[in-house]
Amino acid sequence: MSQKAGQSPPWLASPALLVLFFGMLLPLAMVLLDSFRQRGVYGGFAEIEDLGLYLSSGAWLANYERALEPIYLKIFWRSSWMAVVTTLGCLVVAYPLAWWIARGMPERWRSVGLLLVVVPFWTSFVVRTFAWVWILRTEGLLNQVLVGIGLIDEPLALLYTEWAVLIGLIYGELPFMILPIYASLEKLDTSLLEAAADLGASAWTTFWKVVWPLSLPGVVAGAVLVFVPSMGQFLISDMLGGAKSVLVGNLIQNQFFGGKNAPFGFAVAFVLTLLVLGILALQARLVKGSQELL
Amino acid sequence: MPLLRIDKVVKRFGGAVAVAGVSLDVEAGEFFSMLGPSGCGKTTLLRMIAGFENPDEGRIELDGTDIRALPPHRRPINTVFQQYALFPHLNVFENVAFGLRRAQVGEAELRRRVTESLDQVQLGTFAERMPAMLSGGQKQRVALARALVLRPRLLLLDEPLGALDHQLRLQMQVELKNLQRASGITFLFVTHDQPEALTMSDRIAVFSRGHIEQAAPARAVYDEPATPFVARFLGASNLLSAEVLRVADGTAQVQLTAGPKVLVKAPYPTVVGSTVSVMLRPEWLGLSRGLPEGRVGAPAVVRDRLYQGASTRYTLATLGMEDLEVVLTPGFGAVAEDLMPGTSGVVSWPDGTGVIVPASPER
Repeated sequence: MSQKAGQSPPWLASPALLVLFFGMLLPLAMVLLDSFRQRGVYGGFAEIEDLGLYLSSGAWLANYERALEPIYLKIFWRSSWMAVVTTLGCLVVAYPLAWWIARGMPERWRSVGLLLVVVPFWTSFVVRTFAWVWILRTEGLLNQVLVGIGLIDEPLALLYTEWAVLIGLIYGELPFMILPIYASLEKLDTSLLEAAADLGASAWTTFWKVVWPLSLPGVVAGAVLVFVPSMGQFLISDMLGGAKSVLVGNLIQNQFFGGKNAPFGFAVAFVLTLLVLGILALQARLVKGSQELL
Repeated sequence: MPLLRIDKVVKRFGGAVAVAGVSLDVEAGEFFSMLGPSGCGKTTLLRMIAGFENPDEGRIELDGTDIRALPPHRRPINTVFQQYALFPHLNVFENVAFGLRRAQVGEAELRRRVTESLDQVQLGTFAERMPAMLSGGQKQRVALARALVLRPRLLLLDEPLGALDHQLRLQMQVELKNLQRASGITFLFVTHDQPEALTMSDRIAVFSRGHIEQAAPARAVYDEPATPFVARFLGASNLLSAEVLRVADGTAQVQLTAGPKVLVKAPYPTVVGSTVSVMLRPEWLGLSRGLPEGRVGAPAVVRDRLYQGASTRYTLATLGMEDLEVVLTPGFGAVAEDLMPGTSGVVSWPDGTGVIVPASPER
């Protein structure tokens, strides 16, 4: 072997590449191909009798034409802003907590703090989301407490609203925001904060000029980890949003289980993938721009 | 009025006392060093002056005003940190400009002052570099420029040369001293390296276990240490016990225990009849086969010999006295015969060379 110490042979990447190819690229290509087909009368796919005619007539694009109809565009739009709000909500909740665990807690308690963040993963996601149904419903825990302490007279209708979906989304994705921000804050050198104070920066200025820019990699990682799954969520909106709150995830799911229109589901899924990629690219660009400004 | 007055400052961490009632005055324009082993409280005191820690007792005054209640960012004091603490996301220019931007200095003046400051530390062409692309010595200079550009009343330096290699360290010592002279800014320098403190300082405070052993001009700390700790911490020293026979105008005649009667300096109050320590620095001593004319001395056997280039270090066993360290630098007029281990000779010095070191006060 002519391998030098410290160099890594490229074949180390091959297991991951295999998984990526068979688990991601190949299925994606199949999704793309199948999204151009039509559904059969009893579900499944309709036979294409004349491929030339099928292509020239534009029938292969019918699913995409339908996906871009106003009624579906509205669902895309709502999913996008719900995911954006979820990401911002997670950021607002996670950042102070991550700061506290990384820099406020006594060092020996830090691992306990991190453990508490990931403890929810030990129970099923469905069970945890269902707990929110019990908390938010009209006779639920939250309403009982609010009425009990006399803050409200009548129970609020919380469950089956967009608020409930947002609460569920933020709750579910929160650890994915906390952990990367924690990682970037934990390695922040205390002497940098002292240097900033020493050079005349107030606590607020120190935060915006030193802490925030240095924690941006963690924030960006967290935002991606929260935003992407939020865009495709269907379980939370199903359980907490009821029939009123249809997200893209629900739309796709319905095509396979209720609507029996797999090709249309494939098309919507593919549009969703492109949308997420587009938003991530935009985000990367914004972050780069803001870093150059600092 | 001194620029900085530390008045009976105490700092405890949990049960441990880090600073145990330190009082100290620093005059404007001085290069003042706080010297001591690690854990002696010098860095804690520095951090209290900067405002990163609050004293449990005592006052800290700058220009006669108590500054204890001022947060760090409101004090006209800047710090050069041990590990530089450069902002990794800002280039050299913006690192140096950081303090000026906080002070809302106009863009034109800011550019002028940052450029001037970078030129001062010979980094004029490095303005666009990121800190990660600088060597240790360059980072050190940026940290210095970043603090000096604000023209502080007082510049604190926390072991700033600790991370540099030996050659660079020596070079930076000279540069620091020149910068201090040129800027006229008061430097308060923390170090555990005694040659460094002696090289640069106007005055030195020697710390041990949270208190000051001696605060005096550099030469006095070396030549006339106030306690045995100071005598030992500033380089190898021979401390011989002796009985005081007579005292007159800063000199005394003493009887070295199991040695000759000699004349010594007595810079501190000395009581006739008391037992004292007499210090003889290794380089004050000579070594020869016989006792030269006009010197006092004692017979000795060479126990060890270490060649060190410019000089040679000998460990001598002398009759009735403790082992003596002798450093000989052969040259014009030096009493320096190169005796090999096992040979006997005479260790000697001009009468009046030794210095009485008072015993440490009870604490």
